[in-house]
Amino acid sequence: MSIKIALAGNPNCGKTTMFNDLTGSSQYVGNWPGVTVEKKEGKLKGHRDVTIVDLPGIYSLSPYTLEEVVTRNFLINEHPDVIINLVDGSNMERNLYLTTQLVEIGIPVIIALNMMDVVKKKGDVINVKKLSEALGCEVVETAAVKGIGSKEVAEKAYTMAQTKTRTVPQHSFGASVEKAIEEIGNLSRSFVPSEFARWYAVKLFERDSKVLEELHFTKEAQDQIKATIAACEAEADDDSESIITNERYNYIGKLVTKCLHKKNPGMTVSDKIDRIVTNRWLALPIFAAVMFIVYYVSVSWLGTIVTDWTNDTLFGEIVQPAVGSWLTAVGAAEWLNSLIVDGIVGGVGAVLGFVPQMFILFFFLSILEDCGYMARVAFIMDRIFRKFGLSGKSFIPLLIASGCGVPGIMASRTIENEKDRKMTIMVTTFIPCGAKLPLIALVGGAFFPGSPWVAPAMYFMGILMVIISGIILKKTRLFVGDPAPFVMELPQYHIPGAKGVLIHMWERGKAFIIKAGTVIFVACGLIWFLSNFSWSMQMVEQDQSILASIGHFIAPIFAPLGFGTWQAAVTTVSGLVAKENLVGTFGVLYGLADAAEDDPAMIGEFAALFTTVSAMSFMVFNLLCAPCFAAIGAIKREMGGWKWTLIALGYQTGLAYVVAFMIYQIGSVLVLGQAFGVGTAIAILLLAGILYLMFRSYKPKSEQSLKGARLEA
Amino acid sequence: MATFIISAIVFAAMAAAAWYTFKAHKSGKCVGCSGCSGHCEHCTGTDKIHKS
Repeated sequence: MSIKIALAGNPNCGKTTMFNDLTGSSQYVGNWPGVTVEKKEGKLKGHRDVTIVDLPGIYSLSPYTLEEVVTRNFLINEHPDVIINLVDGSNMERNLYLTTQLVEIGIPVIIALNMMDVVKKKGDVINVKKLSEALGCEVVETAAVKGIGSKEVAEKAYTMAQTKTRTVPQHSFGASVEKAIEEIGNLSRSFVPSEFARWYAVKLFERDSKVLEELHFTKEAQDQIKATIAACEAEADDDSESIITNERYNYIGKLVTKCLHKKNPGMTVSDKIDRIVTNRWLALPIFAAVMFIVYYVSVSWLGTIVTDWTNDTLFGEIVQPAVGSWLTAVGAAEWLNSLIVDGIVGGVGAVLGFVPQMFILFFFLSILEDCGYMARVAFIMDRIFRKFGLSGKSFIPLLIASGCGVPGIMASRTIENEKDRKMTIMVTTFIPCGAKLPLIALVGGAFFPGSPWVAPAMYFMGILMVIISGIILKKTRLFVGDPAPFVMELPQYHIPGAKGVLIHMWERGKAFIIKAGTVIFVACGLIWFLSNFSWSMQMVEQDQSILASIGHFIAPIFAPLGFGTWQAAVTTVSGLVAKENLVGTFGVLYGLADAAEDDPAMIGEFAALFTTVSAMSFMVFNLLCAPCFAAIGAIKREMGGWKWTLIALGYQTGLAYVVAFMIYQIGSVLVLGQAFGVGTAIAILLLAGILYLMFRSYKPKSEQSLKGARLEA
Repeated sequence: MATFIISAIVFAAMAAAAWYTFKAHKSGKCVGCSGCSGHCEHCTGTDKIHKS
């Protein structure tokens, strides 16, 4: 017999942590609400017949957000055998609101009273027996993050499913509400399964739009339901939804008073920390300092030390000479030697050389996410984003995009406002993802050695571009409108678990290594072939190769940006396959793996291609332009078609071109002391244009015409 | 002979890597998006889960 167990609960109450514990998976866990936006399935360890389903975090079963709709559709339509309802023991009052609804559905419920480690640490006491009796379902104390109680609750859920134990809700609403629900229940009985009858009746009483759409009542039945609700509303002098909400909270309030004994009702440690890190004046400088340190340590300091060893010693002195000597010794042909040493080891090695930096960056980001600080950043950024037309909700995708743009784009699904969602998708990939890190490290190390600001500056440039885009786009017809309200629960701070942080770091880093062994491996082989063979399939010098002829054809497009060489042009295009390929292509063309980025020989090669200003322009263009194919695919799916995808790609590439153009043209005059030319004038005009688009006043046409109509009147 | 054997191995590895990438994308398995860990199904639009 196959059994399906659903994990349901509020956002950030530990569902995915428990899911990973129970199934042995490594699903993404973040210490902020909204990490899981789609249900995920896995098999319970030791029970191959039991499927565990991790549902998105929700506060109620109302139809207002995507997560709520996904969860309740699953519960109602797929009817799991048991629901494990995770309740954050440190925040019972809010969490039990969902519980009161789950027990009404008619599916057996068992409560995992989670975060009991936090509760006990605070010195609070919860009377589990009383709570269990009052809710009509079993309650098991758990601390999922430490693996305590997870197996016990799963075993009990398994037994409940086998014995088909029913959960009978113990609370009831006021007499008039119960009467109305009963009348509605009688009317809807023939339309809904009997086990869901009460849940449907309550939802109909609340005038739930999705339920009303789903059940095709006759006009007569609809009128009767409306009359029943109206009579109850008149009696309570409130709308039906508020009546139910108030009654639930009254019930929960009494329940919590009876079951919870708080030791210290004053400020918690989290509250005290928040007074500083979310302070009106200190929040931004603290955030800037934190991210500066993270990128400085990951890319410029510790990361460089480790990466230099990997590039210089491992690949430069050990792997590449050893492979080359071996191939010569066994008598391999020269072309094969070149393919393996210059193409594969050079290209893949150049990418793998940056793995240590990536691991260090992911390690720090995991700590920041896990301890609860990143949730505060979303709160801090909401205040800033709001002024520029975006809400803090848009910052969650940006946070995730610092690992990879694909889940970042996907995370935009939680934004209900369609315009805000589309705009967030368009700007998400401006944040440098892990794959762009090697480019930053390479250019930063080669052209700006000893400058700790380069890597953090690229991160902040990404945020700046998001803000500028927000301001500009919100003043266009496509995106005009007020930002959606942003409500977010700030999780308690906690010391990150070593296991969780290391798993998180490994999962992200491993994906990078897999990609180096697959996509980058193939791409490097292809780049080697194209850069060593002519159209007549003869082995030639790079300048006469197929790649050179393709590069020469497209290079003029990038000439105004300062990198109009064929090598830079093909490198930029190769970044579309995967952004790591930017470094991989350089690796093949210049044999980066056997030279550190501060090697004089390599700088000599690079200097022929770039100046410091054009190198910056090249880096900025590649960080902001159209993302890799995987992210483009994600944009297409989330945008729902090619029209908006092309708008997004056009905007990203257009903005990247303009910004890189300004950097090169203005930078050449200011930094390199070159003469003021036509390009400089155009760049200044473009800058003025951007400032105009940012600071112009804009009123939507409908508002203008309304104003005109009023004036006429 | 060495050239023949080594080149055969290299090209077979490349073909395998390309095939893996293609198949993985089609099946919804992770091909490495540098940090998606768990959101991989969204690369392909399928509802399948990559379990590490």
